[in-house]
Amino acid sequence: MKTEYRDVLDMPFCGACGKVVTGGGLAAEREGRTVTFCSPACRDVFDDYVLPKYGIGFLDPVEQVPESVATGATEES
Amino acid sequence: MTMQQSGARAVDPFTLEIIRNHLITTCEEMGLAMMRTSYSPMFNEALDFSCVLFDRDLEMVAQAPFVPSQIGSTVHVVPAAVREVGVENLRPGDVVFTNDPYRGNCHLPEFVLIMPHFDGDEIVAYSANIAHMTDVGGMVPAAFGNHRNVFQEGIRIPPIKLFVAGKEAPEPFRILLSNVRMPDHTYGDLLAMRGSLLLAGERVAEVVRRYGRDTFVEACREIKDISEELMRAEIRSWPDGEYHAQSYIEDDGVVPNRKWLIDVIVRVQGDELIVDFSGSDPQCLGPGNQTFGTTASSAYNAVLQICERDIAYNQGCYRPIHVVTRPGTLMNARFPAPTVGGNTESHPTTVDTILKAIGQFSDRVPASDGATSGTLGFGGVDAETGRPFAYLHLEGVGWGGWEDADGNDVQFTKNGNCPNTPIEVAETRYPILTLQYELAEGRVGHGRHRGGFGSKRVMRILRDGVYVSSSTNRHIERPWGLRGGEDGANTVLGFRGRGESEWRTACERYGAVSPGKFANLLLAEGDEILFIMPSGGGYGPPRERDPELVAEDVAEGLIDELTAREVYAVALTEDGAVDTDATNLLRGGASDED
Repeated sequence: MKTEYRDVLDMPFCGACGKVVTGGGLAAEREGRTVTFCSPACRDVFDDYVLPKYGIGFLDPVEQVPESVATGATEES
Repeated sequence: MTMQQSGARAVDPFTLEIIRNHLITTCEEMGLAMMRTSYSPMFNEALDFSCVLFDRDLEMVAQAPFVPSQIGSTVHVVPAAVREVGVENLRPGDVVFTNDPYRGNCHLPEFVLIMPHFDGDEIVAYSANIAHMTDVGGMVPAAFGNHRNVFQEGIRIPPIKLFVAGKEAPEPFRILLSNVRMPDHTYGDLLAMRGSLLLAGERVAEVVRRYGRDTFVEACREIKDISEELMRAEIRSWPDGEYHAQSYIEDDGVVPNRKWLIDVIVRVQGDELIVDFSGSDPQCLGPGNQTFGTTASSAYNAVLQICERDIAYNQGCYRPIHVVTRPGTLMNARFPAPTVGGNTESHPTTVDTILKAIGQFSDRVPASDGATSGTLGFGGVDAETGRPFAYLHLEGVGWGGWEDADGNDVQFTKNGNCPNTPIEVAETRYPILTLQYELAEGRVGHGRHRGGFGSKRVMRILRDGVYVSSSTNRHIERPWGLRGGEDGANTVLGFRGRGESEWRTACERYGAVSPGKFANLLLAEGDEILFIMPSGGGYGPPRERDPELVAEDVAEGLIDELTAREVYAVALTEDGAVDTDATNLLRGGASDED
């Protein structure tokens, strides 16, 4: 699709606060991975709190609850 | 070292205070303009909107006491929207619009309008408002139900220009108005929003003209720096450490019998605060998910509620508060997860959970409030006009007791400052008759300072073909008590048909997955709805409550004599006065005669 439109799935998340970074942002290398931050403050939080506490795996996608667990829901939706 | 750190300021304190108050008053005036010129009861009765001013650096410099959940998100959605459109692309008279929940906004029904204000050819400020539109299309009239994705929730618009150089951009309006159930309301409300931005532009121009652009720009910077300084002093007064708390969203309306975990670590570190939600559950399948904007605003909301210092609320006081979330969780849902209930229903519980953590070191924290906005959506086709209608009903809850007093009765939960829509207004516009509206007596979290009471309401549907949907909480999870106070009472939402005497839940009568989260139940003329709102939790052991206050509660019919004796250990005489000797005995002390 050739368009100027960018949806949120095409935008990075901040490595610390988790916000979608719609524009700007800072890119940094951490443990071999490129991490985007929405601000220098978030970069500092990542370095001083997130990384020591959770490790680089914090950036991995969260395992989602599968749709199948909704079995038993009514058809009203 | 900055000028602020050295104690020196470029703007004299008198001028600074005048400009600061001018900006706050401007926000208040914007709100009045919206209230007086809008179409929908959500604006002119429920006041479900907020007005803010940003400086040229896209930092919020002034707000007024509107809706906390909206205000906190503006510091994220406004800069994101403006930067996406491009500051360099803005001209006088332009208005940027978005309602995208994934770009810093709270949820889809919150429409955000932003206008740049120029001095010559330079932008000196932006005004913005964020307001809850009654209907945004989608599968449910008035937006609240048990959606499974954002596409069911309604129309989603990324940042675009809705007005260009002072004129309506016709195509976006056509698309937008053709996707909502009440285009006249939506159009009128959008014009009310834009009108308040124009008013803000006049007020900004006045102050710039009076003091000069340079002084105004510097004043904006200093106003924020002072708030930051005060917030840092506040946080510095708290003991360093990590404070952990958890709670649950009772269900998501889609997955049966599944609670969803809110996990928060509040870390106090010198003059900075980290509010870490990363241990929370993955995003749920229903609409209880919070967007990043909602979660950030819930953190600000909780912190501002317990600050002892008098701090002007602006971006400066948010700077030392750092929010940590993981995308794809209940506290930061990813596209296309539904999020409409996260702002109204999950936000209050999130605030209370943060307060539960802070309560480990602060005695300014209350017990939990009812933590639901009481959002019932009604819709159908108006019999007189043949056009669709949508009505969003909001309701207050009991607030938690706290160190100094009982909780308030029937007050909107912590995410908003919304009054309910007066019965007369609702009955004039919609086919719903209110038969009963009163305090829900006897249902409360007992304590030294008891929780506030919720309300009890009975409504009758006056026409066939009315659909009702709900996104309400606290049907299962009770508002918690604090420091020995008892848990509060639950929400009750019941239905009965014409001539029936028994109330049944949506699960029992309609087979819904959840008693509080469901969509589009079809009601008939004469069907009735019972809606009892939760109370607040109690604070402190009930047996420490002042016996005179217990006697007052009995006299007012809020609790009965048996509860006074068994829960509060207070005995009353035949005329309702406190029987001091008997009460002392009940409380394990000596009577006066001993």
